[in-house]
Amino acid sequence: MAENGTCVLSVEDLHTYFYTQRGIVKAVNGVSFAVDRGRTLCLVGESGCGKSVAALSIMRLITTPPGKIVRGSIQFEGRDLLGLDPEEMRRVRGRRISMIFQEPMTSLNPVFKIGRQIGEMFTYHEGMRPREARRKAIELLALVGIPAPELRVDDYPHQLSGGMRQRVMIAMALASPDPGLLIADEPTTALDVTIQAQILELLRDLQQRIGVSILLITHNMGVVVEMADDVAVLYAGRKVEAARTKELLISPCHPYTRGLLNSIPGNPKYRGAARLESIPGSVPSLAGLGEGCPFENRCLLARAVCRERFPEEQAVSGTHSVWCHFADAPAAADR
Amino acid sequence: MDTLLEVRQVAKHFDLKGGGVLKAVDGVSFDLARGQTLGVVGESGCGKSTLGKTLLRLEEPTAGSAVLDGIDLFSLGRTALKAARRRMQMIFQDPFSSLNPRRSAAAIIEQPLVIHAIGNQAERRQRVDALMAEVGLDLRYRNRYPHQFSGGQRQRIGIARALALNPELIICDEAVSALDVSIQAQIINLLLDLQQTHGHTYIFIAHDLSVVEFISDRILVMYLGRVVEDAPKAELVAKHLHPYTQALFEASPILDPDLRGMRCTVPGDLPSPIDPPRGCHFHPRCPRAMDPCREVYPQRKEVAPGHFTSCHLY
Repeated sequence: MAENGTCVLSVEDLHTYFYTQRGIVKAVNGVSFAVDRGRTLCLVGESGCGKSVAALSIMRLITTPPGKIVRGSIQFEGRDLLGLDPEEMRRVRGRRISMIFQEPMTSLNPVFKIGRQIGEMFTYHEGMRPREARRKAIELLALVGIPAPELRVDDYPHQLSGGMRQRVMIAMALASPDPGLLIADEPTTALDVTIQAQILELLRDLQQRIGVSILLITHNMGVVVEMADDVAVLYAGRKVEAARTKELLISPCHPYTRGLLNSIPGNPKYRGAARLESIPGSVPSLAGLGEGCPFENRCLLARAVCRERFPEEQAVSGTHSVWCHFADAPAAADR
Repeated sequence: MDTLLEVRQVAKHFDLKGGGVLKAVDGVSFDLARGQTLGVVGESGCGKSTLGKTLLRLEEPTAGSAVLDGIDLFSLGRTALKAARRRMQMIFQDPFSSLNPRRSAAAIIEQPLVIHAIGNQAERRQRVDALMAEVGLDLRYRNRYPHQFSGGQRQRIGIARALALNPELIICDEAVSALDVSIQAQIINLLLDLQQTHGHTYIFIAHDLSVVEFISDRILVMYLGRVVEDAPKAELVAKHLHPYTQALFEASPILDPDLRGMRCTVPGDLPSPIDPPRGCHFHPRCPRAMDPCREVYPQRKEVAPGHFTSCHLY
């Protein structure tokens, strides 16, 4: 296993398009990011920003057609995942990269006991015998904090609560002896807030104990703050800002990032305020987006150049970059 | 205080098929002043949505009373209820399933006027145009169908429909929960602007404490069918007493990475509302549970002026 700080996953210039009747939808349009060993990177953004498609592209789970990874590279532990044949890719999935989803009920098979579904990871990938796989499943259920795991192992998914089902999904994701990367796509979005807090705590705790690297996809800035070491803000298929979590919160540079933080009613600046500072307009249709900055139609700083071309990367610090023609304009101008 | 709505011991129980009773709402009381916003917050199964529907009699109440400006809503017959409904409307969570996909935006917004036979065709058209402008919908989109609008715009249609009859009381049931955060902020601002212009009284039902905290004057916290704590907003934010309210505040996201992992999470799952724990419903998850909590449901006590909680600790 590599040392902390080395790069586990590196996505470069990823383009994932969907070819629809209404035109080409550039769901991911030239996005790059990297997950370092033992750290958590959050991809954050609203509907249609491309965060889930980016995750599915890494897993090579994009349905073709209509979807296609058009360009880019996905390096995982030194190998380009886009160059693997399907059998090699299947060995990476589940064994070296696992994924958990928003709605655990749709990802678990309703007709099999959870013990068998977790154990499958061991019988399939490790060639373990069923009895031993069951013992491993019980261990994992205990690891993710399910009470009475030796009884629960024989439950069907419908017998568990939403939070417990998500714990089972996490147990399955960690079934590999050395999980390199856990991709979590909105893992707590369907859960009640007190249960969400438990699951986030569990993920943090497991990361500390087994050193798994996490790529977390979320729309929720609160989840970012709880979990992320690093953040990439996506908007309409483009990465618009990337930074350490603290940097992003203290000095957001992109007008969209600022607007996103300002849209949160829990933002401390709103103590006693009567209105929120909202971003006008809505996300443009991704079909037929031009070459310019996709935020241009909602941005108060936008000028002609924004419509013409997407900006180059601008370094704010060694760990903080922004893609905006006018990011250095004073924050006061952006309201 | 100019009270618009007076709610006393409202209950809504559902008889279950296999026997047993689901006490979705179990003895909720509050007063709501005209022009104020009452936030109702809680997690799945706490009864907040059923409470809203019961007050409008979209669900028939099992017990209790709700008096809107002197009118006892729960004793009204059909005709009188229809008249009373002109004064109270609802905005729903899902702008997909709460709008008829076969009708244009204008027809959807006009419908309440048609049902209550208000104005002639020309007047109604004028009113629809005014409503669309007021909620920020482009008049060129009058004849578009719901699927041609974005989620935020659809919610604006739902709001315009609720406003059509000039209601005094509007119940917003998770009205912004399904929206992206940047759109959510727009809709929250719209609701606040409308309240300022028309003096609406809101009951704002949501699971997101930070949204409720922002929009409300008074907050009522529910857990498994009962109110565990209610207080004026500032009071509740400064001093949340019930361990469940404390858990909600702890679990609510804060934009400060220095506080990461510093917060206490309450253990355990939400129990089924069909067979809630005896005594205080929260006791199995409560870090401060004592013997009486396992036996007796605590009385509602006024711990400070206007600040009520049901907990044996106080």
